[in-house]
Amino acid sequence: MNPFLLAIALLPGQPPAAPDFAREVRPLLSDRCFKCHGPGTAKAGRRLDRRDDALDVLSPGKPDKSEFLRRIDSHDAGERMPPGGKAKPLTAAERATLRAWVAAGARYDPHWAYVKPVRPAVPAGVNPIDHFVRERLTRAGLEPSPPAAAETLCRRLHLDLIGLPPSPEDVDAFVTDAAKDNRAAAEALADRLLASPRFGEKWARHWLDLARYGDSAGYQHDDDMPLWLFRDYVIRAFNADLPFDRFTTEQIAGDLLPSATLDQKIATGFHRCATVTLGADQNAEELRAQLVWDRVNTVGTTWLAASLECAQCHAHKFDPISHTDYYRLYAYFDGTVPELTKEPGSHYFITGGVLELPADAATAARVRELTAAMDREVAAMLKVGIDLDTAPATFRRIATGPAEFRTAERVYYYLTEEFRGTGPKEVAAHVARIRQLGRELTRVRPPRALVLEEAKVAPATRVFLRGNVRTPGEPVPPGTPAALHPLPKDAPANRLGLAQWLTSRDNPLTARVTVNRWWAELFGTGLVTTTEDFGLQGEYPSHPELLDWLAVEFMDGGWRMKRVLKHIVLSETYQQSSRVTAAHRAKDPDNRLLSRGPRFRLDAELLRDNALAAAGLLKHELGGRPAYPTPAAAKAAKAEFTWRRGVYVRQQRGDPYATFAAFDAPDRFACAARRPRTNTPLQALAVLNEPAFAEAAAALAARVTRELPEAAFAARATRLFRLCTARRPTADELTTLHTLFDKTVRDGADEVTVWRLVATVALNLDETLTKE
Amino acid sequence: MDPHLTPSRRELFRRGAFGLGGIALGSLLAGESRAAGSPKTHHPARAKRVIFLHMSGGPSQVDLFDPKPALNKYDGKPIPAEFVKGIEFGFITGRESLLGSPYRFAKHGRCGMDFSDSVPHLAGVADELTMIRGTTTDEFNHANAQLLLNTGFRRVGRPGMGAWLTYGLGTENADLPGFVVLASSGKPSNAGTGLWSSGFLPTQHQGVPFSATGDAVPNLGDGRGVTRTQRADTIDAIARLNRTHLADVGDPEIATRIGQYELAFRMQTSVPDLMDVSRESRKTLEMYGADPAKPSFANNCLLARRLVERGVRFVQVFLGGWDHHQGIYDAMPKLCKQMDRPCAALVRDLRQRGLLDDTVVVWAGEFGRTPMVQDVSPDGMANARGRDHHKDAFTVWVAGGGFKPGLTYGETDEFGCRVVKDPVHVHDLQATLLHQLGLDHTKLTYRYQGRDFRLTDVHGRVVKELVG
Repeated sequence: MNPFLLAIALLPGQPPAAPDFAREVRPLLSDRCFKCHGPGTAKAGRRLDRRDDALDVLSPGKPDKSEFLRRIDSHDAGERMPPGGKAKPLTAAERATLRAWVAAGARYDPHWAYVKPVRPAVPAGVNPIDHFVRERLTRAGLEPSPPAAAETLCRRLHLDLIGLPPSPEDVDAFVTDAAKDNRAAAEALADRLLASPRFGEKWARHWLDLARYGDSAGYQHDDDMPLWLFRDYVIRAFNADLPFDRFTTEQIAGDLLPSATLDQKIATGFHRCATVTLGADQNAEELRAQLVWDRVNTVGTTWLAASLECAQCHAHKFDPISHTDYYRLYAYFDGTVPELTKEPGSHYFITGGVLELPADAATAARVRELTAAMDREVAAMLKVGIDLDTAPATFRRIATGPAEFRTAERVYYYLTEEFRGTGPKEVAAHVARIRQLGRELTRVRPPRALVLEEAKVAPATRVFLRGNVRTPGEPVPPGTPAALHPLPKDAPANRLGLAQWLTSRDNPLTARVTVNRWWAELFGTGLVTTTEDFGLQGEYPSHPELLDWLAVEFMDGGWRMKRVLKHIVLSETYQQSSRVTAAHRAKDPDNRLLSRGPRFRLDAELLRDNALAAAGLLKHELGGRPAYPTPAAAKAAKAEFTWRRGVYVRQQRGDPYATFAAFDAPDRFACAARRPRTNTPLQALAVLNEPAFAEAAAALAARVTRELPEAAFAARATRLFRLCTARRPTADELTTLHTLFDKTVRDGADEVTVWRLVATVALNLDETLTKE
Repeated sequence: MDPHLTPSRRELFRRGAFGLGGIALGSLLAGESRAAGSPKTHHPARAKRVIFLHMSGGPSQVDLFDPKPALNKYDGKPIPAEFVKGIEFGFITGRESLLGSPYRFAKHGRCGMDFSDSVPHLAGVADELTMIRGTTTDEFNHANAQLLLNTGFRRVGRPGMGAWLTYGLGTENADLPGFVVLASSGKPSNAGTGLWSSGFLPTQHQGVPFSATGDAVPNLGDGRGVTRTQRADTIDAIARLNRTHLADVGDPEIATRIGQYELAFRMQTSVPDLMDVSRESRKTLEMYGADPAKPSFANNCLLARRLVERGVRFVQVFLGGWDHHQGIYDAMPKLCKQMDRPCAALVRDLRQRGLLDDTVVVWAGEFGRTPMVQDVSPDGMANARGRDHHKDAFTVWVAGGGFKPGLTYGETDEFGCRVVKDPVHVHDLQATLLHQLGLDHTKLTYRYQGRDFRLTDVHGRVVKELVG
C-alpha cells in the first residue's frame, strides 16, 4: 500500500483520495470478509465480493450512512466485523482505507490478474525492461548497480540458458569480445546458447516440475511408468522454440489434433504423469477421480496459477471458481479410456493409453519371436505339476488366475517384480528362461509412452458433491470458469476447446503466469512472488507494467520463449553486478526492486551438472531412458552407468535421489510451481561426500593433472579454479589453496589425494554453488 | 574420537566462522544479534527447550482425553442441529449421527484426570500433565492446519516454531543444529518441509531432519581415503575463501554458507554419538519400548531426550497416521500402542533426569475429530466408519516447563462440538510456549518486506491460567 496516499486520506479537512482497489482494498476484503461473505458462503445472506450485492450496506459516497463501516468500526464485540477469532481484526489504518474507499464511491475494479494485459507505453529509445525497473528504483531512492564483470556475465548467461558452466576458453573468448563491444558480445553469446541443444535440457527441468514428471507411479507399488518419451518431447520442444500456444495445445489435446503426429500424442503424457496408488483395495471409481482431479488441478496451477483444488469439494472461498466450474473443467478430462486394470486378488496395473513407438521390420519380427517363445514357455510351465498348496503365491495366481492375465508380459512382471526367488524346482528352469527372454524382449522392444486416449463413448460427468465420488450431483457438460473470459466461438466441447481457451488472446493469465515463472528462474523471485497463485490471495506484482509488457510481447512475438528470454538477458537490469551494498541491505534486502543482479544458489540438478561438467565427466547425449544417479545405484539395478545430466536422472517417486531432495527438488507427486531454496548442513555434507560430487572432485583433479602435466602449482590451481567459478583466483586465494596443498603434502599424502582436496575446495566454494 | 584431531578442530573454530566469520555474521545481518551468544530473553524464562510431539492427521480427542458419555448414550442418533450450526467440516455435512466411543474412561492420578483405557501409560503420568481440552484452530485441512499450528500461518512460507526459538534464543550446542526434526513413519507432514522451514528468517534456523534408518544424516562419512585432518583442512580453506568472497560481494548468504559448512563438519562426530541409543541402559530402553536395531516412534522419543540433554532447543517428533476417516477402531489401538508408552516414558525420563522443569513437552494434532460418524461406505462395508476433521474443539497436552501439572483446562459441550469454557486457540498455545521460554510473542519479531512478522501473526494471548 502506498503510505503517501494513506497519509493524505487521514488528514482532516482534505477530500479523501480513493485508495487503489486492487492493491489496497481488495486484499483487505479478501482476507477479512470473503471467507464468510464471499462466493463460497454468504453468511446472513450477505456477499461482499460483488458490488451489486453489497450496495445497500456499503452506501457508496455516504460513509456516515454506511452499515458496512459502522460494523467494522463498532466497539460492540457482538457487532464488530470481522468477528473475533474468525479473521485478524482490522487495524485503524486499514479501517481508514476502507472508509476512504466507501467515501470515494466504493468502486470495485476487477482483480488485476483477471483483466487482459495491454502493452504499457514506453518512451521511445529505451529498453522497456530497464525503463520499468528504473522507475521503481528511482521512487525508492536507489540507483541501478553497475554492470557485472565480463567473466561473471559469461557464467551467468551459461548457467541461465543452458545450465552448464562455461569452459575457461569460452570465458576468454567472451572477455575479448566484450572488451570490444559489450552489447554485441552478449547478444552473440546469448544467441549461441539459445541455439544449444543443452538449452532444452536446462529449461525442461523447470517444466517437468509443473508436469510432476516421474519415472514411477509413486505410493507403495512404485511401479515403473514409461513417461520418458514425454520428457524428451519437452526437451525437443524447448530446443525447437515451439510456440507456447502450440506447446500448450499439444500437451492438452495433441491426440485430438487432425492427423496427430507421434510427437503430438506423446505430448499428452503431461497428464499421464499423475501419480497413482496401485494397491489392491482401491475403489476403481475413486482412483479414476483422483487421476482426473490431479489433471484439473495441475492445469490450474500450470496455466492459470489458480488453486482450483479448493473447488473440488465446494466453491472456492476466495477466487471466483464455483464447484460447478470445477467439474466443467473435470468433464474435459473425463472422456479418456480406463487407464488401470485390476486383476482379481491382485493390484492394479497401468494399461489404457499406451503408445509403442513403431519398430522396423527386423525388430518387429524379433519381438514376435520372443513373445511367442515366452508364451510357449509359460504354457510349458503351467503343464508341470507343482503342489499349489505349498507353492509361492505368485505361482498359485499364475496357475489359477484368469487366462487373460496369463500373458507372457504379465507373467514376466510377476516373476521379476513380485517374486524374486528361483521358484519350485520343477519349474525353476522355466522361470529362468522366461526371465531371460523377458529381459531380452524389454531390451529390443521399441520404447513405449503413456498418453491420453479418448474413449468412444462420451462421459456423463457429474459434480461430486463435497468432492465425494459416492455422492454424484448434477450432470455437467465441459466448460470453463464462468467468471473468466468466455470460450472462443466454435470451440469444440473437448480438450481442443480447452486448449483454445487457454491460449486465447483474451486469456488474462496464461502469458503472464508463464513469463513470470521464467523471470523467477532467472532472478530467483517472480515479479509476482506467488508464482503458483495469481488469485485474490496471491501477491500483487512488484512491477505490474513490466509483467504486462512481457506478457504482451510474448504473445505478439508468436508465443516464442527464446525471444522473451533474449529480451530479458540483454537488459541492463539482468546484466547488473550482484554485489550487495549497504544501501541494498537497507532498502532492497530481497532484491524485489531489482537494484542488483540475481545471486542465488543453483538448483539441485544444476549443482550436480556443474560439478560433473567442471570435472569433464558429463556425457552429452540428447534424451534417452532414465539414468541412474550413481554407479552404485546402477549396479544395484544391474544397469549400465554413465554420468548424465540431472534432468535424465531416474525419478523414482517413492524413493527419490536423496541428494536432489536435500537441495529442495520436489518429490514430483504434485505440480510444483516454485521450489523453496533452503540451506542446511546436509547440503554441505552432500557436496563434500556424496558419490557424484566425490567422483567429480577426483575427476576434476585428474583433469588438470592430465591437461597440464608439467605445470607448476599455480597454473594447475588457476585452471581448476576457473573451471568452477569462471574467474581467475586472486593471489590471496591462490595462497590459501597453496597452504592447503603444502600442509597435506607435508602430512604425507600422495599427489592424487592432494589435488583431490584442492578440487573439493573449489567445488564447495559458495561462488561455485551460486549463480552470481 | 581420534585425540590427534582436537588441535586442528580447535584451530578450525578459532579461525573459522565462529571466530572471525562470526563477527562478520553478527554485523551483517540486521536484527540478527540475538542469534549468537547467550540467549536474550524478554523476561526470566521458566523453560529452555521444547519437545513437540506432533500427532499429524488429527487424533480423536473423544476417544483419548475428553470423555463424552452422551456420545454413547445417543450413539447412532443424529446430532441436534444447534450444536453444529456454523461449524465447517472437511468431508461430512454435520448432520451425521453421533458415534459413541468403545473405550472406557476413568480418572487417574491424584489430580483425577480423565483418560481412556487406550492410553494406560499416559494415565500413569497424569499428575505431570496439563490437559488443554478447549483447543481450537481455524483450518480443517491437514496441510493448512499443520502450518497454522507449527508456523502460526496457514500457508507455506513462515518460519516454524523451532526456527523462531533458535532465532530468539540461539543454540546451546554448537555441534548440533538448534532445531531437529524426527519423522517416525510414512509421510509425517502434509505440508512438506514447510513445517520446519526458516521462512524469511536466516536459513541457519531451519529444522534439520534426522533419519531413523541408515545414516542419521546422509553423507556423514568423509569418503574413501580422506582423513579427518584433511577434511578439517579442506573446510578451513573453503571458509577462508568464502570469507574473502563475502568481503568482496557482501551477500549475507555467504556468511550462512560458512556456518553451514562448519556445522556439517562438527555434525560428523556429534551425530553418530548422539544417535547411538544402544548406550542407554536396558531399563531405559524398556521404559520407552525402544529397540536400538529398529527405528520407531519410541526410539525417536528417546532420541528427543538425548537431543534436549545436549542443548538442542527444539525437537519436533512426528507420529503420522491419525487421519481416521474410516476404520477408526481398527487403526487406533495399533497407533495408541505405538504412541502411549514412549510418550509417558519421555515425561518420566525427563523428570528423573531433572530435565522436566525446564523442558516443555507438547503433544498435539493439527486438529481433532468429529463427535459424529463419517461413514465412507453407506452401503455397509465393515469397519468403514470413522470421524472427520474437527477444528472447533480438540485436546492438546503439555508437560513440564512451568505448566501447571495435573490441571485440566477448558471444557467442551456435551458432545464435544464446541468449547464452552476457557478456549485456547493454537495462537494462544504458541504465545504461552514462548512466554515460558522467556519470550514475549508480541516482541519476538522479524522485519520482512516492510512489516514486522511474528509467530502468532497478530493474534495470541498468553494463557496465564495454564502456567504456575
